[in-house]
Amino acid sequence: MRVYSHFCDNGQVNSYLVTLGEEGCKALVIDPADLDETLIRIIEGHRYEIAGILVTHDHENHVRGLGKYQKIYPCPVYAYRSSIMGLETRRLDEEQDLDIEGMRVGVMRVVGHSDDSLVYVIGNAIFTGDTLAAGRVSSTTSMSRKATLIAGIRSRLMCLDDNMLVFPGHGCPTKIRIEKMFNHDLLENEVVLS
Amino acid sequence: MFAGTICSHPQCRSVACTPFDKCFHHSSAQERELILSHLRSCLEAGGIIKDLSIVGGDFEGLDIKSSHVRASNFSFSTFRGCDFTGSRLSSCFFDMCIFTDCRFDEVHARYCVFSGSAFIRCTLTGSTMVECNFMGIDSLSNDFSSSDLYFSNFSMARLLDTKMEDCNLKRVNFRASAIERVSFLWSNPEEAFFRKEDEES
Repeated sequence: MRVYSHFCDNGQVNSYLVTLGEEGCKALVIDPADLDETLIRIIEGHRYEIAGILVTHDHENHVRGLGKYQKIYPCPVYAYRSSIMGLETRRLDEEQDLDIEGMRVGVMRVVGHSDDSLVYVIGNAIFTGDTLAAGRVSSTTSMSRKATLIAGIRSRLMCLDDNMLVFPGHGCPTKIRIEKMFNHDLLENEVVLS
Repeated sequence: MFAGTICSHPQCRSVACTPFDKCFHHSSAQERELILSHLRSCLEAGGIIKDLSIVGGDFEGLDIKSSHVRASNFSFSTFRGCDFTGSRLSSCFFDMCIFTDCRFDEVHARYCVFSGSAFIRCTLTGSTMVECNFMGIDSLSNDFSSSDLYFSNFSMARLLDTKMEDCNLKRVNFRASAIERVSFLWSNPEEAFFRKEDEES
């Protein structure tokens, strides 16, 4: 598996291109924040074929490039909502396993930051969008939503293997082990609970 | 990206070394030599290391100058007197490592993870280390001067006797870190985050 991380200046969002091989194989896009020259060079240079776009949640800065993708690389869009930016999607359930052109994708819904937040598991990597970032959990509109988000992260993500790589929607990558040790929001919450 | 195969040794949860089924610690002496000779041959043949996993390795005086390391995993390794000068590191995992007397000068690192590592008497000057994860590091007598650390994360780190002079600290996260005798001269700490509230604003 190959993961290309791409930083989109506009909105400071990470977009990811995931492929199973080196050349001419299928690829998935996680969060179509933008489709710029750098990404097009990677896709064209390796003759990748975009098999699907996975949306972690429908906040504008994470899906801004969707229209551009649909013009240049038309492909199915997977999301929790049935429509994103006016485009019809293949609606995903709370928890399910997908097989997109031979690429196995696990789907988990972890709400709190937004109601449609999904986390995708591909191989030994998870793509958390705005659910979990390195060292913190994402912002929420209320304390109760923060509690829901932390509970979701604990029950669904922190039980994954410690070596699982975490690719968030903002900031640097991390691992489940690192988040258990150094995620200040999770540790703070643990102290409050105890 | 390196394969995340778990070491086949009973009760070991480390990631196995490429292309074997055990981590470095549980590999036989012969397997260890093969792993290291593969690394050396990569460095000699153009210096490109990719999709490699060596967990728990022990490296002394390794010359990684001007090489390109990508999508590799060196967690729980020990590096003594290793030279990464001028190298390009992308999506590499150096978490829980110990770096002693290493050089990371003029390194271009992006999306790299150094969390939980200890840096002792290392130089990381004139480098671009953007969106890198330094969470929970122990930094003792290191020099990060003249480096671009944009969007990197030093939360819960312990920084002692460390120079961060003339650095770009925009959106760098120092939340809950212990900072003692750290020089930010000519840097822009006002654009960094030191509290949770700064981060969310």
